[in-house]
Amino acid sequence: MDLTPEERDTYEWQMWVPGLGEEGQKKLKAATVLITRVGGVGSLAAYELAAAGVGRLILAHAGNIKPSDLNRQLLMTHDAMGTSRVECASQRLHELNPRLEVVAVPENVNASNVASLVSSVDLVVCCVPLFEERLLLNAECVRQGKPMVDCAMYELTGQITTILPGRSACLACRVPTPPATWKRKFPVLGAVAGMVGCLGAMEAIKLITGIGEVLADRLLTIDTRDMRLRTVQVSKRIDCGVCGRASGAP
Amino acid sequence: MRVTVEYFGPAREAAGIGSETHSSPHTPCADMNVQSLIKHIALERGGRLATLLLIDGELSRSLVLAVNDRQVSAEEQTELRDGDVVTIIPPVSGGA
Repeated sequence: MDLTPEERDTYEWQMWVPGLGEEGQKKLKAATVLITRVGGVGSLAAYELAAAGVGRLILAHAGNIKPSDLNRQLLMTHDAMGTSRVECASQRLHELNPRLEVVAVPENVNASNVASLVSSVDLVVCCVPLFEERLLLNAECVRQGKPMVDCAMYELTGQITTILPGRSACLACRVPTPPATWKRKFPVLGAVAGMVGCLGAMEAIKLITGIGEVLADRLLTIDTRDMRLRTVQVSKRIDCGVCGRASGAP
Repeated sequence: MRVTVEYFGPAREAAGIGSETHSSPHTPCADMNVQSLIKHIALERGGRLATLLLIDGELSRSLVLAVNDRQVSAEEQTELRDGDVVTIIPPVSGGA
């Protein structure tokens, strides 16, 4: 997939990144990424991938914009209050990158749509607020052999890892069932959610272009309260119900 | 023997501190492994920290426990050595 002269002008500075170049830019243009929920984390992941020149984004997020979204969901606007989140996000992404193809799905990931959503993309960036949804995506990505960038935050902290099915630990290796202690409503500062989204976008860019080293079997944990960063080596569980020996996973 | 325990995310919030040092007179410490240390902390502090770390008196399988940035199992005993850093990372799912 060749680049147009306009694309060469737009992406000139990032094609100077060693290892990326015009070949990497072509890979980004040819890529399709599913971003599940375009809230505080997913908005920034989508925005950075649109800016980087990813060719096609599928955005899945139900519901309409509410006042309490606007401290962090940077693809939403005050003027669009009460209208579809994914439609507003799609419009904002096109303002940045009119070449981008966006498929706006006004649904959250669920058991009925997860297989078709995952099958239509090269990789998934998971930015959802519920473990049930996160584990559903994880299981489907493992089943279909699609990489998943797992982005999560809480209060002033973030956690990011990348799941390479068949090669690295999956989400269910460390979170086998939804923890009872997790609550749907949690403290969020937009700058923290956005930081996690940007890091998730960076993992996606590395997966697509092949530059650098993704967080497979590593969990990056960031606490912005005192700027502590830890990258912990995590392990695949042989008894994992999703990717372990008895699971039948590929 | 001294080990540092670091709390991340909800564990930091529940513990009220980012990290602390625990000491034992023995080196290496036969009576202090990662799992018993964290259970001890949870039972001593009680409240939200215990709820986060324990399920039916055992360490939650959803915790990421690490010693010197390498994950250890919540179900197997891992001996501690002087200077080790134990990290407790509860899972989070914030994304909206």
